[in-house]
Amino acid sequence: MRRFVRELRAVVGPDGVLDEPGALVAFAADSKVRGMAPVAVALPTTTVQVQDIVRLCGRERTPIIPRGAGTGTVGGAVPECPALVLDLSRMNRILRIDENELLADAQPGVVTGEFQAAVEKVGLFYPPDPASAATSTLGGNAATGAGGLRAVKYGVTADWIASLEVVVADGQTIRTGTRTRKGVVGYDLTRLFIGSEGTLGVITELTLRLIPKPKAKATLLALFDELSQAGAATVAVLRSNITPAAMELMDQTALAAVQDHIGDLLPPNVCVLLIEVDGDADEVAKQANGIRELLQGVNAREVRVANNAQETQRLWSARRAISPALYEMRAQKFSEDVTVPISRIVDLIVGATKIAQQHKLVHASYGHAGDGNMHVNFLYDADNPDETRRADTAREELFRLTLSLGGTISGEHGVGVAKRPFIAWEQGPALLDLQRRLKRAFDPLNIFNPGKIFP
Amino acid sequence: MTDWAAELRRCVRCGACREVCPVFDLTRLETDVARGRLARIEQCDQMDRFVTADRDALSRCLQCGRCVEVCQSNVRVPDIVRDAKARSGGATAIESSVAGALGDPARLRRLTKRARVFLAWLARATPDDAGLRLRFALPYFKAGRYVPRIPRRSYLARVAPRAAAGQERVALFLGCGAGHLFDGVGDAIDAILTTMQLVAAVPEQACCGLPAWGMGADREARIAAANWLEAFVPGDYDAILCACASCAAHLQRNLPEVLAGDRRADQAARIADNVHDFFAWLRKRNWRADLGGQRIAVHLPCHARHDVRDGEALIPLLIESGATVIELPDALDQACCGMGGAFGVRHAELSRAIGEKKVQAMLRERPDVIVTSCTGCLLQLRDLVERSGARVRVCHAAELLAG
Ligand SMILES: Cc1cc2nc3c(=O)[nH]c(=O)nc-3n(C[C@H](O)[C@H](O)[C@H](O)COP(=O)(O)OP(=O)(O)OC[C@H]3O[C@@H](n4cnc5c(N)ncnc54)[C@H](O)[C@@H]3O)c2cc1C
Ligand code: SF4
Ligand code: SF4
Repeated sequence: MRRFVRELRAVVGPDGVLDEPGALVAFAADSKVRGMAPVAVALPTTTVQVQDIVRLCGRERTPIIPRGAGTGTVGGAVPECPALVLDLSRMNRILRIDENELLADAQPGVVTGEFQAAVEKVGLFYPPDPASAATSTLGGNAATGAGGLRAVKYGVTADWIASLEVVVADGQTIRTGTRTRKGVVGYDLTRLFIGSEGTLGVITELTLRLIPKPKAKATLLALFDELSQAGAATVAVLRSNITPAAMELMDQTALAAVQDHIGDLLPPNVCVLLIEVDGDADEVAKQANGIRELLQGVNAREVRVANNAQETQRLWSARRAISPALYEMRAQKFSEDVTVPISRIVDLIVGATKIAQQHKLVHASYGHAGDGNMHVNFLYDADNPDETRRADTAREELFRLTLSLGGTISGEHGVGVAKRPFIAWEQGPALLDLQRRLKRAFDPLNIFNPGKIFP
Repeated sequence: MTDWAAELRRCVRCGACREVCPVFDLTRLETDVARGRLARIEQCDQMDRFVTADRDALSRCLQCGRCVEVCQSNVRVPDIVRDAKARSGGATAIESSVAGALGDPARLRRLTKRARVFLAWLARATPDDAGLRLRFALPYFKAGRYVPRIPRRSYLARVAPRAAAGQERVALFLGCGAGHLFDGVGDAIDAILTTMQLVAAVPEQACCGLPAWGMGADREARIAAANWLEAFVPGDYDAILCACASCAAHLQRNLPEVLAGDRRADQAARIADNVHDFFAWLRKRNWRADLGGQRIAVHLPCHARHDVRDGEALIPLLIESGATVIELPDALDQACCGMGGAFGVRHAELSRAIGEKKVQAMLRERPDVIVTSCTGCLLQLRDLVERSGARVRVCHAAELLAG
C-alpha cells in the first residue's frame, strides 16, 4: 500500500493524493448512501494522469471509483470494497467554447452551474439543469445520465453530449461520437457511457452541444387543491401544442418544507405546478397566455404569471431546496425518481398517496412532472425500527406500482448501490446477462467501480 | 449543552457548501469543505480521539460561515468546528505565538529587521494574553506578511482609564488591534463622538477572548471573558461601543456560552444587549458624515455579516453619508478576506490566495479608499494591497468617517 501511494504521488504530485485516515472518511458517502472509506484518493488534473492511474490500478488490481461532486443519490461514487477514489474535482477547466459550431469542450470536474454561466456569458445556452447544478459536475451528470428541470422541452444530459473522451481499461484513451450534427459510424458508445456510473471507464473530457440562449422566459404558477388535479393538468399541457421548458410539481408537504423560501407567495394547502416558458419575447407571451387559458379550463384554482425576477427566483430556488429541506421534517427519507409514461402520471400520484396512507407514512411528491418523473418521498425516522420497516415496504410497493404502469424505477439518478436489488424487477435475465458481458468486455480486470448497478 | 452528534447528523450531505466555501474553492479538496470536515469530526467523535492530522485539518476552516448561508439544514459549521477544536485539545497555535518566537533567538535572526523590531515591541507593549499576539506568530513573518507601523504610543496606553462625559454614559471597547496597534481608530471614534458632545469611558481593558475561543482554547477564552466583564459591568454604561465588529460579535453572541456553567454567564447574557457595533449604533442615531462622492470599497467582516446585531449597517451608513459604495458581484461581496483567526498565520499562502480574489476585484473598480470594520481583516487587506503595489488607502471605517 505504501508503495502504491508513493507511485500515485509520483503521478499526480504530492498534494494530489490523500491517504490520511481522517481525510478518507470524507469519501465514504455520497448525498444518500454510506459505504466505506477508500484506501486513498487521487486528484488528477490531466487525462494523462488518469491514464497512468488506471494502469497502476490495473497492475495492482485496485478498484477505481470515479467521483465528481458526490451529489449522487444511489451510492455510485461510494466504495464498497478497498478501493481508490478518483476525485475529478481538479479537472475543472472549460477548454473551449466554439461559438461557430455551438460546441464546448470541458473537463469532467467542471461544475455544471459554472459551465452554464460561462456559455451564457457569450450568449449561448446549455439546457440540462439538474436541481443540483450549482454543485454537481458535468462528468457526474454524464455518468449518471442526469435529468433536470428543463427536460420537458430540451431533454436530458444525454441529449447534449456530442462526444466523450474516456480512459478505458489498460489506460487507453478513446473518443466516442463525433463533432458533427449526426454520425452513425460504429456503435453509439457515447450513449453507452452515459449513465454507466463509472463502471466502464473514466470520462476525462466532454464535448457538449449548445444553442443560442433564449431571449426571454416567464414563470407561471398554477395552484390546485388536489395533487391529482395538478397531475391531470400536466398531461393536458403536454398534449397541447405548447411545450414549456420546465414543468415542476410540488405537493403540500414539499411546499411546507420550503416555507421559508416561499413566505407569503402562496396560500396554505395548495399543490403547485411551476411552469417555465422560454423563447422570443412575443412567443413567450403567447405561450404563457395559452397555458393560462388551458389550465383555467382544467380545475386550477388560480393561475398567475410571476411578477418579477425576484419572485421568479424565489419560486425556483424553493423548488431546488425541497430535496434537502425534507430532511428537516423527518431524519430520513426514501426519495425515488420513479418515472412513468406521461399518461400515467395521475395513476402514479394517486397510487403513491395510497401506499403512504396504507403504511401511515408522511410522504411528499414533487419533481419533473413534465417528463413523467416524480420524486416520491417517504419520510421516516431511522431510530424508529417500525417506521423504517414500513418505509422499506412502501418503497418496494412504489417500484411495483411504477413498473405495472409501464414505468422505470429510475428516471435520472441511476442504480448504483441503492437500486441494485431491484434492477431484475425491471430488466429480464437475458438483458442483464448481456450487460454483464459488456461490462467484462470493457473492463476485464473488473476495476472500474466493481459491483455497482448489477447484483 | 449542545448535542454535537445530533448537530452533525443534520448535515444531509447535499454538497451545496462546495459552491461557496473559499478554502475548497482553491484546493478542490472534499476534506476542505463543510461536508468533509463534518465527516471527519463525526469519525473523531465516534472514536473519541483527535490526532495531529485532525487538528491540522480543523485549522483549515476559516469559520467564516459562508457555508451556513447556503445550507438548507442550517448546519452551524463554524460552531461545530470551533467546538471540535476545543475537544481536540487543539489551541496549539498558542504555543507558537510570539512568546514562543521570542524565546528562540535562532529563528528570530532569520526574520527581517522590521519584523524583529515589531515583535520586540509587541512583547513589550502588549499584555501576555492579548489575542493580538496570536496573529503575529512566527509563521506570519516567515511568510513575509505585512508588518504594521509601530504606534508611538498605543491608544490604550495614552487614554485608559478615562471616565465618560456627556448626556449619555457610553464606553468604548477597542479590541486588541485598535487598542494597541492601529492607534488612529480610537482617536477617530473619539472625534466622531465629540460631534455628539460625548466622551466615551475607556476603562482599563484587555482582549475579548475571541481569538482564543475561535481556536478552541476555552480556558483562555473564559479568563478573557471574565476579565472583560470585570472591566465593563461595574460602569453600568448606557452603551458599550465596539471598534471591531468581530469583538462585537463575540461579546453579543458567544459570551454566555464561553462562560457556560459559570455564575457570570447570566451577567454576560444581560450585558450582550448593551454591546453595540460602533457603526450600527451610529446609524441608529442617524449620525452622518460627509463623504462627498468618494468611491469606497467595503469589506464587511464575516462576523458582521452573520453574528453582529445590525452588523451590515456600515454599508447604508456610508451611502447615507454621501459615499459611493462599490458593488462587487455577490459571491465576492460576501467572501471572507481569508484571514480568519489563526488561519492567516498557519496557512499564510492559502489565506492570501483567498483574499487576493476579493482585493483584486476591489482594485479593478479603482476605489478612493478600502475600508473594513475589523482589525484582523484590516491587516489582511493591507497585506494584499501592499503586495499588489497599488497605492490605495486601506483603513478602518471609523478613520474614514472621522474625516
Ligand atoms: C439536492 C440535489 C438535487 C438533485 N437533483 C437532481 C436532478 O434534478 N436530476 C438528476 O438527474 N439528479 C439530481 N441529483 C442527483 C445528482 O446530483 C446527480 O446524479 C449528478 O449527476 C451527480 O453528479 P456528481 O458530479 O455529484 O457525481 P457523483 O455523485 O460524484 O458520481 C455519480 C456517479 O458518476 C460516476 N462518475 C462521476 N464522475 C465520473 C467521471 N468523470 N467518469 C466516470 N464516472 C464518473 C461516479 O462513479 C458515480 O457512479 C440531485 C442531488 C442532490 C443532492
Ligand atoms: S450544505 Fe449543509 S447539509 Fe449540505 S453538505 Fe454542506 S453542511 Fe451538509
Ligand atoms: S466556515 Fe467557511 S471555511 Fe469553514 S467550511 Fe464553511 S465556508 Fe468553508
